[in-house]
Amino acid sequence: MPGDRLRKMQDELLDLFALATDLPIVSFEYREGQWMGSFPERGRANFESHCNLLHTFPGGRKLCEEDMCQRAARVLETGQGHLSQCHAGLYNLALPIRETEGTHTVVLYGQMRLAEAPYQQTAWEKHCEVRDKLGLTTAQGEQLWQALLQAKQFPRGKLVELQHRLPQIATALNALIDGHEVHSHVLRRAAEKICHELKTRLQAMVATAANLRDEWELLAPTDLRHELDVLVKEILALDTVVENLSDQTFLSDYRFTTQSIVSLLYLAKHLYEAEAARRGIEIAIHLQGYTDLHISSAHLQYAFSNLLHNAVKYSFRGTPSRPRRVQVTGAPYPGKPGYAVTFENYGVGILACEKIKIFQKGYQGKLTQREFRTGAGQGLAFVQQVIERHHGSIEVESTLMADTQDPLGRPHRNKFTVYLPYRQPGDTA
Amino acid sequence: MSKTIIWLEDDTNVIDPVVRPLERAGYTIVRFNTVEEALQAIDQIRTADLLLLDMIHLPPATGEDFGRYPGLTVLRQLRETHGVATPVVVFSVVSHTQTHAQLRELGVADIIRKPVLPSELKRRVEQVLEAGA
Repeated sequence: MPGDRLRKMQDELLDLFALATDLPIVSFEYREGQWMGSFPERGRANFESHCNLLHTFPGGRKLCEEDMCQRAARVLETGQGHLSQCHAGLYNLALPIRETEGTHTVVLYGQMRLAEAPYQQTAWEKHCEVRDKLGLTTAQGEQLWQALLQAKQFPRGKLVELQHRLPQIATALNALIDGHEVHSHVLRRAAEKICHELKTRLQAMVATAANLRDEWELLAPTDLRHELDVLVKEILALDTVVENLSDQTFLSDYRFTTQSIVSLLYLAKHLYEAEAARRGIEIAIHLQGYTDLHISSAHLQYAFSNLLHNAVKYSFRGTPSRPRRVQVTGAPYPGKPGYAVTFENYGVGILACEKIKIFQKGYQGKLTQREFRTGAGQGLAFVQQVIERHHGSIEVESTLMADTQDPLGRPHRNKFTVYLPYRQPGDTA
Repeated sequence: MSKTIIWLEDDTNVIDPVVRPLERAGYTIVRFNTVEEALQAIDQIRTADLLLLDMIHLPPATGEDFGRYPGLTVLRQLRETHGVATPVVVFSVVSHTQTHAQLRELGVADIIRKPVLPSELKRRVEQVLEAGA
């Protein structure tokens, strides 16, 4: 499924389906050469006691999983749903879920037995095969057979009807998923329009206030100029709120792939290089070691860009004779299978008591406020959310560089270190 | 002779104060409010010293599809179809990194995000003009 929201929606739909039919449901996703199974809440609850019992015998669960994978693979090959008998003799239906690029998810449900006599014979033969394969004792075999006889029983006509409905169910599921995508698209376009309108108004306000301030620099009273100055800064701070919210809105669902983070960091550098140069700051990137990580690149791009922009924004200005440097360094994390990226600058500091607070939504750094360079308190909160969604972490260091008791306004060496694991849970590549 | 800047922007009536420092410094600002106006004045853009370009515009009255970012489509047409080499500064709210990459490929000299201080806009426009002089 493309993304978390759709995955959640699919699970909810399957749960409803399980609730309505009392049938167990498993969804299988084909990812990077392997089938990954997941069970909606109700889907697992509806499992037949026969299957649950089989799983308690050594090798029983593996046998079941292999069988389900084979049937899911058949759907992937043909693109068609089908009805088939499982290794233990129960009937199951397999249903393809269409993806943007072909079928990747298959839903299996069923675990039904038929009442008719010919079926009893086939089921017995299958049961014996499983019993022998797993080396069950006579008592265990008998217990398993009795459990099979307790499985939900359907007349053949019902099975045929379900088989007939299979394509309809697939069509309905896919229509719901498509509808959700259209809905998301419309919402994003609406958000973009609102952002455009807000920023246009902010531009008009800031231009008018700044022109008044600059053109009347010598004539206007000091307090009026000061008020205009505050107004300009507050409008620009408001813009940061709109900017962060819109960036976050435009990001699509998390989509994890394995790729190098080098291009993300260089794109971030590319975006803020001009701004840095205007402030007499050079951005240097130095990465070493293996940089391929399992990431959602659009989200991590946002996080890296935000951290690099902060490093530039909160740096003290350089001069031609003494340029400042924002440094990005990366290396494998010692002792853990992951990579660490550090964004380092020399400028406005972060107080020790703020190192956790700066990641809270709406929090604005005390020293940045003093410097009139305050952000909106949205960006870092979202950065932390992105890093945590990657099962990583972020740490902050801020060291006062001058020998003084008053840290306000003094230069600090600041480091934001992002730790990211190479692999994510469920990534079997 | 004063330098001419073509400004393609559909909200000039709202954000006009942003170019005042440029006008006060003696630059001639020619305002186009729609993509149609700009595409009918290709020769004027060709001979201008700079094109200040917004990315988002209302769809043209002709019904022609200019896509999500009409400014980007106009820029493509100017560069690729008409061979216009006038320096371009994008002045827009669009902030997606992918769009920025496309703009750089089309030889955009600078990308300025709205809102910006008028003095900052003037400084960056002058920087591009000086680089091209």
